[in-house]
Amino acid sequence: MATATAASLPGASVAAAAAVSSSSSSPALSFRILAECSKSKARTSLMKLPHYAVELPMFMPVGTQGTLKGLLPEQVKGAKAQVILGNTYHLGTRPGKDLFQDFGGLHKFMQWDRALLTDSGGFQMVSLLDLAEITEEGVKFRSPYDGSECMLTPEESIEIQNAIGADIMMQLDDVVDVREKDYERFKTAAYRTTRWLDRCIKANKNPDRQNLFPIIQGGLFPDLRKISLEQQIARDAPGYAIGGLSGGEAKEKFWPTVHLCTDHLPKNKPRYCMGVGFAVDLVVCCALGVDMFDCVFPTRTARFGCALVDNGQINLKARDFANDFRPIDEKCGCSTCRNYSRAYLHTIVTKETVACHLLSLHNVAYQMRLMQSIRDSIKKDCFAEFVEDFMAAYYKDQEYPQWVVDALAAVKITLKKNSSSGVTNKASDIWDDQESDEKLWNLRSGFDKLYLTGYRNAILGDFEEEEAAGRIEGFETAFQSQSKVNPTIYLSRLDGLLMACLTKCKSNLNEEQKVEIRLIQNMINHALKLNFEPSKSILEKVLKSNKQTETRNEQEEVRLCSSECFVDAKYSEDSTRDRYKSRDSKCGCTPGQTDNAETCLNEILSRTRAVCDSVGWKIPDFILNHEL
Amino acid sequence: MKFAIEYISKGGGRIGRLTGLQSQPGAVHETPMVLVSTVGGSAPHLTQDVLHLVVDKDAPLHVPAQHFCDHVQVLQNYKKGVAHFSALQGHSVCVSVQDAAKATPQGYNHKKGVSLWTYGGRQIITADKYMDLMEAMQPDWYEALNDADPGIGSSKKRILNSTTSSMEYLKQCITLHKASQKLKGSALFAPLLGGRSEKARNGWSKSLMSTTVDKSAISGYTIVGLHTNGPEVEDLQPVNVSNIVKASLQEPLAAELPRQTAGMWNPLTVLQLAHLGVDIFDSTFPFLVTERRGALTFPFRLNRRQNDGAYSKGSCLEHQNKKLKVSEDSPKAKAEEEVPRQDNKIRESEDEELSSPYEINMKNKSNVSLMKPLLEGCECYTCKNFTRAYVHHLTIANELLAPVLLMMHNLHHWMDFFSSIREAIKTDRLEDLQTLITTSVFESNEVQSLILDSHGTNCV
Repeated sequence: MATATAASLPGASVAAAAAVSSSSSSPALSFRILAECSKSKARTSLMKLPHYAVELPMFMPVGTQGTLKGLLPEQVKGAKAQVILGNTYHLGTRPGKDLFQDFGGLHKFMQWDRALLTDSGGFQMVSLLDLAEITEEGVKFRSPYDGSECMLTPEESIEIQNAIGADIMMQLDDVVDVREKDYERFKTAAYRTTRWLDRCIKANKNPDRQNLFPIIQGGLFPDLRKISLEQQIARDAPGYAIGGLSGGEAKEKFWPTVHLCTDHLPKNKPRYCMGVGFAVDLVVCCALGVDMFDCVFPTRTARFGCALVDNGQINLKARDFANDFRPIDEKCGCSTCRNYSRAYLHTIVTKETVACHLLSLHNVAYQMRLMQSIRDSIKKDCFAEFVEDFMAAYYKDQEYPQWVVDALAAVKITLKKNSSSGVTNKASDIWDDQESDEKLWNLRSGFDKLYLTGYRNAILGDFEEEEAAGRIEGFETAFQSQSKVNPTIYLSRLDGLLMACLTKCKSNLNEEQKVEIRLIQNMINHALKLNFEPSKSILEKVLKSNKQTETRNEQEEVRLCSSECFVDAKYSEDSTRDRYKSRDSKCGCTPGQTDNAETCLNEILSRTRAVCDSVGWKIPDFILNHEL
Repeated sequence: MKFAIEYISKGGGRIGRLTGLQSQPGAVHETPMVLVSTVGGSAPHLTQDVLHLVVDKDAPLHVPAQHFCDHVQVLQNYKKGVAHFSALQGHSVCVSVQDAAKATPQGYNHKKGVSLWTYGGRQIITADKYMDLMEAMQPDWYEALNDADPGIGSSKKRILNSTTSSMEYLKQCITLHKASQKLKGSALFAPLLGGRSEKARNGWSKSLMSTTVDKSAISGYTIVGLHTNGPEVEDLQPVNVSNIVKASLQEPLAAELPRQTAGMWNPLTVLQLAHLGVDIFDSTFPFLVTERRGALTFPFRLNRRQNDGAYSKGSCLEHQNKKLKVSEDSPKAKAEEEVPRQDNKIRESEDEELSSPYEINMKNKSNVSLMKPLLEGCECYTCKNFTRAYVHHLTIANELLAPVLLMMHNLHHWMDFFSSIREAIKTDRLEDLQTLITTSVFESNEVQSLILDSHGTNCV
């Protein structure tokens, strides 16, 4: 009654508009902003979904196949997760939509009573692109399970998602690899995504209990993003996602795109930036006004023995932790930190599944705690201070990356220059290292870091399909099937291990060194098993294709050259710049390239033999009997 | 450690009380009991909080020395013992030499020491080193170092070597044990050896009671050398072990001390061993069943009938068909039987990797849409919360949660099985329990072969 009278007054429309600007509601979602940062675009809000009232900004851990990496639902709740993300592509293939219909949805199937979000299956297109063909109708692809030809249309995607019954569904979008350069391809994708959105909206059978989020496309082109924004916003959805990012694009291009999108997206609706999950990215994107995030990173890195901490992550495999009886993080209240020590975790990481569960749990809890701190600081209106403290802790003893400084400056948060700029390359930080390549060249300086580089590449490689197969299988299949993988990284990682071992062997051995040697021996053994055979087969594959085709793939050329340079680098004390120069010069000459790659392989083989002989370890036959 | 025999059943088996453990002065454990087998200090696949959804917070653990011999220094620095180190404080710990879940490679033991296989490879461990490790691990009780290597068909000479060196280790361990301050509260168990020779076993037991051994330091026995660990142990049937275990346990061995034996004993062999008076077992069986993605379903409740096929004709397990498994009660599975006989071969080869008649295979497609729990009426966390369809999905998707849920169920089932064993001994009905399990396993086999036969003739 009060509103009816108020509406007739001239001032009331302004008040009503103000109310609308900070909240919205649709049949299955209500959104209300609780507090806003007075400087940046950051805000904290409450989003009520059919299964759970969610506090934003939040991070959603990814439970690809209806489970979160070995954790029971109540453990996930204990880590304070509010929403779990499921993958439509995986769930639609197995167990399939019929089963979900019988069971009354994924919530019941996996016993999760908080909210769920499902992606559309579109992102899997990028990873399966060599199998998939995108047409106006949808995506045609070959099932990796049984080889049959399948078509994923917007209607089909929504039908599956309706059967799954998640609180939030994503539209099927036309995903383009963000590193693709063709403007026209992005333009098509942006328009097609909206056409597909209309088909998705029409196909949605449960608008009363399932929200459908459109996805903003347009690559890194501001004009295309604007077109996509305008079109998608016109569809008046309960919330919006920023898609097509986090595919390996330069950070300098990433943040302005997010900034542009959040500038245009309606303020009174939730905004979801897909695939973002590194702590720094989360903080920056929150400052830019994003509310929701998801990423496989926290659970994936756990499988590699890494635990998230305030200045990045620590790899519990490192021997530094053997006698460290502290929890991973004294400030963390997760059940892993309350009960388990780093020293114990060190004894079982990457060996027992329990370690994987414990680290996954901690990593999810870490992300949740980070988001909680962000929400709290916004409520107290000290978000800017929080960001400064966070960055100072994260980039301890390091300079801030320029993109972080720029992105935050764009929303009026100024980072004070980090004073101690002398120290770089901190071992725990392998994620935001701008010059990872350089690390690669310094093989003899520290093989621990190199070891991490190998992991880093494997993780960032994001072998979605291999995820379930576990770490070992993931490595192997990825090496064999992903032509993008540069074998030199793995070869050099292995080589670094061998070098370190060789150095150790020369000196007189005391007890401790013997233990060390034994450890390295095992690492070599393991690394050889993991890396050598698949890498070799990649090399062979590359060589074969080079022999067969006259026109060479540019990428492969670079790869071969870099492997050749990498051999050079072994024996020269040149500065990094000179090495790059030598690569440039050699890239010009195409003849003899196969020889170089062969040389590279032979070099490593002979060094392997030398080292293995020196430590008395028998080399598996397959390594020596290679045929090119 | 104190052990008191409470009751010796006329129907076989005995009930004992294990008390006075150094880490749990107040706890009372009734035997026959199960120790929770561990890998790397944790129950397989189960974090501490999840383990406590299945077993009591004071359930004794079985920790193989093998898993920690690479970490002596760390444990020495830590000072609080292996249970605390593994975040399982509150649980008591029994340490054995080898891991019962992994087959021990044979032929690596010699006079210098016993080979232990760690993540880092092989380590030869002497009695001195072993006792250092015990001091660092601080177990409530532990097995003396021994060379229990001889496998099936070992020569007399090998058995002799094994007993000779093991006697030497035992004497060294006893000396070091008595001298150690840190091991004051720990109990030492002497191994019972002798390979598969009844004579050698009895001879060893006699020598333990002779004057050359300081008996005052021995608080119990572990029967070793019956097998060389790993999954093959489940194939050992009651008849395979009965006589050799009897030979170890007979006079003059002190009957009042607790007797333990590790390994993946199948339920019927467990019953036979309990019948013979073995008091302490472990959970290797449910663990290895989990590893092949099986869910235990064998019945063990005497007072209420779990399975339809209850009455039996025979008890001959020798002829059991190991491939019984096309899931007894699923209509789909029966429908599959309709297909011509030739297909049986294919299906059988699929089932080959399986299994035992005590479990259902969760890889089996017949579970794909079953909304019922792994086992109707089971009170475990998995069965109360999840369906077979979900566990099957996780199994097929190779998700880490599959072994977690299966391990929870299987461990729970195993624990319950042992409480049923105790109940049966108390009421002198151990043989009824043997009959119940034998018949249910045998019956369903028979049903299975009947189905096959009828369809076979139909096809003709």
